[in-house]
Amino acid sequence: MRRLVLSLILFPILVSVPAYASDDPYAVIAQSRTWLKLLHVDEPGALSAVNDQRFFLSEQGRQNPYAELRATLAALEAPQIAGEGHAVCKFPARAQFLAQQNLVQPTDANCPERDEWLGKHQDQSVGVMFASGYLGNPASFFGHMLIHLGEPSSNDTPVTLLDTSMNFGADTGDDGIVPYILKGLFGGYQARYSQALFFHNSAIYSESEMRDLWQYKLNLNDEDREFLILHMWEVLGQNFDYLFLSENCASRIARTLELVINDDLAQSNMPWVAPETVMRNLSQAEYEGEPLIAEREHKPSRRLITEHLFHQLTSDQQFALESTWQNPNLLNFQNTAFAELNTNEQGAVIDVILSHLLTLEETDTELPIPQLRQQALVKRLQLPANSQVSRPLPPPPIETAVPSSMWRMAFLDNSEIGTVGRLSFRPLHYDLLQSSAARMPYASLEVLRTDIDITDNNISLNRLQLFDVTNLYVQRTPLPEMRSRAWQVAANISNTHLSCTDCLNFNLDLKTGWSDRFGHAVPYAMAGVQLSTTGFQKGPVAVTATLGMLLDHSNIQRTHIELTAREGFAGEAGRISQLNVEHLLQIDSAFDARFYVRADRYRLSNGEQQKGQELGLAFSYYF
Amino acid sequence: MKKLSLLVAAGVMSAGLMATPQTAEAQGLEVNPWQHCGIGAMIFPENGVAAAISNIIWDLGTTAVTSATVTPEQCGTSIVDVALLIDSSYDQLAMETAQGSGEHLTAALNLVGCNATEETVGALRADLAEVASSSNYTEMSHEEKAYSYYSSLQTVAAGCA
Repeated sequence: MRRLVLSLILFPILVSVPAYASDDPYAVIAQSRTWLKLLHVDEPGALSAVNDQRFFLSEQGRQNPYAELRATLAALEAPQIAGEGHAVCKFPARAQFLAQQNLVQPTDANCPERDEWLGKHQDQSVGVMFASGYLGNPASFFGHMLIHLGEPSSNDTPVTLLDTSMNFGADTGDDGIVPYILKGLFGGYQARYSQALFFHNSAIYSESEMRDLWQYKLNLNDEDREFLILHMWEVLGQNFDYLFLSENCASRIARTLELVINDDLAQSNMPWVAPETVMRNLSQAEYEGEPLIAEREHKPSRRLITEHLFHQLTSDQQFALESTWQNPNLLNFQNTAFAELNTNEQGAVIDVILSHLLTLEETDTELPIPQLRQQALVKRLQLPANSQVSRPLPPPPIETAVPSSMWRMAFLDNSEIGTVGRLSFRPLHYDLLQSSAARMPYASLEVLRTDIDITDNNISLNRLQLFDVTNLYVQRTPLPEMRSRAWQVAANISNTHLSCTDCLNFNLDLKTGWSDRFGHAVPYAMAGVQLSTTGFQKGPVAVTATLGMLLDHSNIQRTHIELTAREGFAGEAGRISQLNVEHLLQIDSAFDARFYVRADRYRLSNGEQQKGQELGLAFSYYF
Repeated sequence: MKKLSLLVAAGVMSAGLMATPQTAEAQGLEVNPWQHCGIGAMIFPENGVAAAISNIIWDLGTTAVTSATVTPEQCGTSIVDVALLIDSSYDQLAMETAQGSGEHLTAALNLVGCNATEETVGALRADLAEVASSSNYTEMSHEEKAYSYYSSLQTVAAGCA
């Protein structure tokens, strides 16, 4: 019923409609939202996003929905030729829609492949799977989305490994990084939906890349749910245009769901469509007066499961575990602490070990994993089985995170320059003070943050942060080889000193080091290399050392303190030390206030020591 | 040695000319999806470079009968799904079997028409205990371990019908 109503909602601008449209009843349907969605015509007058002649029954079908409608009607009524497929088999959603419009009586064709596929999936629930961002690969920084078809009555196990994932991804062949970037940004790749049982994706995301997964089940009525699944059969394997920023998994899944959801699910304030944006749109969308999202299910990563299992252990069990695994290369179950546990307690200890071995296997560990696993398995199999393993509480869902695009206005008192207004814009994504479990705790992923200084008589660039990827991965268990590893890769163009407005240098920083957590404090120490231009400082290759602390005062207040020293091996003029203190007060999900204290010390080429200080207050708006 | 190889090759060729191969079923042999259905040749994305593929397409492709002793029907979807689950998740399956519960274990049993009961899980635990405690367990290849688990699962499945 909803579709019939939707079909009468027309795009305001004619879409490749011939001049005789007003006299032709088919033209009305050819302009309907549902028909255009079936053809993946995303904007009025645009080409279909499907770049595959197999998807069209008219030679002009990609650019002319009307021609495609007429060709489809003819094909649906044509008799089936023995041994050949039929349009009814290939386009069941089109056939159903056009039959409901009383435009066609589709041929009763024999479609064994379609029927087998629909037999498996027709009654399944429809959802969207979101894989959290992954700092291990730029293509995965901002998360990933899949369409998820699950069993209809799965209250006990909401997400099962035998559900079906429909993945929209580009075929990049064997391209290297440069053509990959160029084609991804400017065109040249094709993408398509492929399907696999969910365990394939679970193995990659949860077990290998240690990413949390979320399934959002859609609250669709049976008619729309079945119609959408019919359409999924139509688009499986079809080639689509692909652009990394705007024609990606998130935008295509959004556009596909819009077949039955009357909303702009790919709406974005920026020139790109990020998975997080679409997940936010889905979370805010309504369907028949109710929230579109019926339920959210969290599937924790292997690392999160291991940490959770460890923290479920009693102190005696944790001590027994440490005693058992004192030598990282060997498990010693003969120790007293382990022997004093009962068999169920011993089982829980070994469950942590086995789970941790799965995590270690995905690292570059040199521990003898096969031997350790054999020891643990053999011992565990001698102990009673558990009927259920505890799961961690889910972190906040992604739509609760502060939006990633930002405008900020700061008012600063600079010791040399005086009063300065600093206008900042950041398209993506979050800084250390904003990091949260909804995205990535104790991490930063900022791209293209631009700070412009405004004084009475001057407007100048203070800093262009090209990118800053920081991960203070914090140790949460004392298990072997789970050392905290802090690292940072960042590039910026910025004024070398606080006290100048026209001393821009380019810097590329690579750092690695240590971090830990003590209650609400996360201290860290890193050292690394800085490659710089030398227009306003000495030493193109410098070493840097950073000491820092992230303090969690509450859900809405955080402080970041960082002290950095640079040695450019060029005498006094190659050295600089900087102190940054920044305090965040989160006002609500769209606004925050920040207080800054900054200071630096350096020497000019003539040996004269310089100092700079800056105090400031800033207000940020996130969207 | 070379002469011996030629003799063996000639013998194999002549045997091939003289006899039409029987199917594994006719020979009473178990189908090994890794050997007969091309599971071993399938490439799973791994960490690192292939992580890019996680947001890019990765089709598993289609399985192909790689042995004259097996019919395409014997390498059907269900058998291949079971084998692929075990192949992609053997370590998780071994862990959960030892623990006695888990989503991979439940999925594997469900794929062969069983529920995770005390009997089915107990049988898998017993088989795994025997395999894992063998002296050459750490030297077994991934494929050998996976096929071993697959065989146990098939045995358990026979009792679930």
